[in-house]
Amino acid sequence: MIDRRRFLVLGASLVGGLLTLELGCGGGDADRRKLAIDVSALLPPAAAQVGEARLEEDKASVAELVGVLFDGWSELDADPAVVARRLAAQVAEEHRQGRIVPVRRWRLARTEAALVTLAALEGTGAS
Amino acid sequence: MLVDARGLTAGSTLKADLCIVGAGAAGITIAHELRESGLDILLVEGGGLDPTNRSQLLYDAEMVTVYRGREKDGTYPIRSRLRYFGGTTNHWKGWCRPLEAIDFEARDWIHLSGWPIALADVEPWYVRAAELVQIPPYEPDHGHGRTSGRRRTLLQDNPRLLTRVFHYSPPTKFGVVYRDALVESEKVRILLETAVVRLRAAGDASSVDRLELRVEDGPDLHVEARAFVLAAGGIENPRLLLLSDAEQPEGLGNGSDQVGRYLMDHPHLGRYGHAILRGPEDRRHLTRFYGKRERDPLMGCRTLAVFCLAPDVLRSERLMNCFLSLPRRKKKDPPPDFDLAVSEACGAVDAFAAGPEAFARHHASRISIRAEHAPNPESRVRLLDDVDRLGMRRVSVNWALAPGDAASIRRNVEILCEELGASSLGRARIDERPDEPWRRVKPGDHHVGTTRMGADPATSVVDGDCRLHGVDNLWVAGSSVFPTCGASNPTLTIVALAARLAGHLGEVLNR
Repeated sequence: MIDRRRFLVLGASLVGGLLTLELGCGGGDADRRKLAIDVSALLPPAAAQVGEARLEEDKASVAELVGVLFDGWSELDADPAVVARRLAAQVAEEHRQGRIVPVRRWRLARTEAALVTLAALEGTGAS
Repeated sequence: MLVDARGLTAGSTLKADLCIVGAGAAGITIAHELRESGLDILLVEGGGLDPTNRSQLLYDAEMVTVYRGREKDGTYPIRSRLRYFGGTTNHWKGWCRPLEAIDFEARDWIHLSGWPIALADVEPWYVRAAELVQIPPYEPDHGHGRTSGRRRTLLQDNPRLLTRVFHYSPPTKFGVVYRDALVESEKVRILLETAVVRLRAAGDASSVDRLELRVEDGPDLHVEARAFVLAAGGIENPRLLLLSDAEQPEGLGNGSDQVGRYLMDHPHLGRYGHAILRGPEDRRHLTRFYGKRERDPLMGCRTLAVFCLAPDVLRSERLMNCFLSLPRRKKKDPPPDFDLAVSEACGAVDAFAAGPEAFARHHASRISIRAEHAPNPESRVRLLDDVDRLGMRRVSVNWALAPGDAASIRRNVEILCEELGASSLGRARIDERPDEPWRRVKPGDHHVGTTRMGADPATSVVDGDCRLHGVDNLWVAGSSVFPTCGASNPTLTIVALAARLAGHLGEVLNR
């Protein structure tokens, strides 16, 4: 659950993002990785618990997860809040299209499964 | 008036314009609707005014089934119906919904689907049926989400998922509510504790001459009438036709070997999966409309909302109808920590777009389904060689579900899960395993399809007026005439079709 404090941080980073130059098309791997980790850090600790369950069922590397998150993105905003909103829309679309990953039978969108798995990997430092 | 069959002389013949076999929802509806038509009506009921174990045991049958669970003990044929005046309405829970328009359509992905009549042909009779089962007046959009407005309809304007609303009858016990009107009618005689053991047809089996009746510890009797209606339920209707083999060895109306086949019931799976929904409201209100039968003061009855797929989705995905409800998890069965973690994590993802307040509260529920299944010729009622204590051959009941039925249910649930996620309403998990789909299935106790309606005598038993193909004066009433079962509970449609048949018989017999 995202609490009010996290939401304010998110909002502040959104304002900050307006002052940030957009990365070039695709961004560098390091930038993409940093953005992905920044977004996953906005999730509550419960996300890591779900991500660990996902890792038990299917191993994945940070690079693979970053690839899933930004699959098909032609440009990348530097602001985690903007990216997070876009990822939320991507999650909704994946549900609609049935692009689902089961985690202990829970039907998660591919992107949200990648996000929680990233949260778990970052939490354990296993990158 | 009530007639005590035990006081009649053995071998005597009762005469009537119309003889109705069975005093359940269908039989009582027909007698009630025609009680002032001028016709002499004889209503024959196997049981008495009150239930007895001895009478009920005459419903004992062999149970063959592909599914497991409590039905292993074989009590389905006894437990799911009641052999006394009022029939199964005596334990009916009151669930009322009309069939959907698509339920009447021929769907090329469902074997032998397609009624010879359309929803528009039945709608005028749903109006009358709603009165008889004591629910709010029927309207063409009956229950399509119409409520008092106190309850929130979820996923409004969703193109794939629709909300449908069940209205609950008090429930109406037909044997109690309509008994006085029938007993006081001078044109209706009610013969209790009297079993019909066989129908006797004319030489070429083109009409029924008389019924043979047996009264336990009493006389054997006959009935002669201008017209007969079998309204004894989805197991007894085919049984009586199959037993009537004197003039047609395979059974009356069974020249195409269709009588007793295509037995359908509604598979119920109360724990197909689980969902946790999130919203700004208190969890008591979030899915109350979908999870709990409650009285709606403006509707004047209890209501419950369910989801179903839009007809276009059923067509494009080639699925059967299915109602999906979200009953609240019981307090003694709280969601495990992991489920809450999923809800919290996914709620946070959704909050990226909508803000945290939109997902402040959660509601844990089960995903419960009641579904249509396809007509299957091997799902059937057939006669055994051994006889009951009245000397009537017992039956074997095989409710057979097919892999296609399981696949259809699963896809219905998957689409519900997809739309919950796509709308950010929540997340769900599916617990039923595809390799063992009927592990926890229960029947809805609806016996449908065993004397199916159709235009072609090669694939059906009765025509669009419910008259037996090739037999001039024998009609069948009840859910045994449904060629497909939809997902709606059958009683409202049974009563509507019975009222329609009463109108038809009134015209035919008063010409």
